[in-house]
Amino acid sequence: MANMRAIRNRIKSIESTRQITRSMRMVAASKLRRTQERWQQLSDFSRISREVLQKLCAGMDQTNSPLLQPREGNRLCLVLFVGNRGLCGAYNTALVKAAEERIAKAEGEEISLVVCGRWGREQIASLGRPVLRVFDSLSDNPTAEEAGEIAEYLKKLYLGGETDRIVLLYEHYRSALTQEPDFLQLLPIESGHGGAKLDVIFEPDPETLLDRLSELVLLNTVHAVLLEAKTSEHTARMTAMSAASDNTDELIAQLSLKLNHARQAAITTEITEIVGGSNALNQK
Amino acid sequence: MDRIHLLLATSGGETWEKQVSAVTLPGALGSLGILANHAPMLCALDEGLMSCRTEAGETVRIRISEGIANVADNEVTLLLSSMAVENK
Repeated sequence: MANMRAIRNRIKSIESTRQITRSMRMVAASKLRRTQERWQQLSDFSRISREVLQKLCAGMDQTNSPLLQPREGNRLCLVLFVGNRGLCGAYNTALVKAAEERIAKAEGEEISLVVCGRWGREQIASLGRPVLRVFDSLSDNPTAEEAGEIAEYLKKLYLGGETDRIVLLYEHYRSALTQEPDFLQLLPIESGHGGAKLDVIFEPDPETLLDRLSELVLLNTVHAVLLEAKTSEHTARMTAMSAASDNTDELIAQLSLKLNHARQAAITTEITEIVGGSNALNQK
Repeated sequence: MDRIHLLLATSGGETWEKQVSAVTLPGALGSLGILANHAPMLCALDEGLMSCRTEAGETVRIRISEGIANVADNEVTLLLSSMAVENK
């Protein structure tokens, strides 16, 4: 009987876990839909701004625009887009592993880190590189203001001469089933100089236009990466919670079988005892 | 071809588009009027009020932030950080 009670308690506890994992999956699915929609809305601006940037840089050998000019130095700032919490499979650990590999490959590079997200202070500290700033109050559906705050900080960091290159490390959303760590150079902005000069009127001049455009491109890139990272995070959490719910179903089925065996054994024992008792009485 | 396809896009993902016959923009060097078949141009924009005349003859005013305008092949594309339509 004690065994049966233990199994029943275990089933009850697994059922409540299943309720939690199912709700988490539904919450992640609804957050995913909203984030993914907003991320896709940014794609128009990204495409047009890239075209305009190419048009501006066509025929230019070099530019004086500070956000586009490559630097000689070897200081690299790696911006990690981790999640706000765990329970999303290998999402966060894959990012830290990618950062570890990048740091191991660094030849003579001085790498510093900026972290966007609350997860894994200890894991990030174990990378052994200085963390310049942690943006730990980002929402699950990041707004343009939140992206603006990060973009402004990174721009100041770059223009202030504290780093020579800024690279974003985030989970690239390849499909609903696959997300993988990816690197994207934020600063200096890669514009693809050279090529044939186009017959376009520049008003007032290409340098002023480049300055204005680079500010917008910077903001848009950070916002798009932030939303893509969140889309990947919500997808990873949804998949992880879905797998957890399936596992609880399996566990409950196994435990129910065990419970039925135990109940059957108890009934058999009871019947044997009754039959044995009655036989003993009859013999008297 | 005497119509212009006007598209406004903000870095935050907002977009607004319409077929128009004329556009007036707050350019960095002064107010700028664009009609169909304008020469290709890239123009810096100041913060201010832009207006356009729709095919139905209505005038739409939109408050825009600083940005950049790309004019090519009867398409006018404005890249901005924010915008707000004042009347539709």
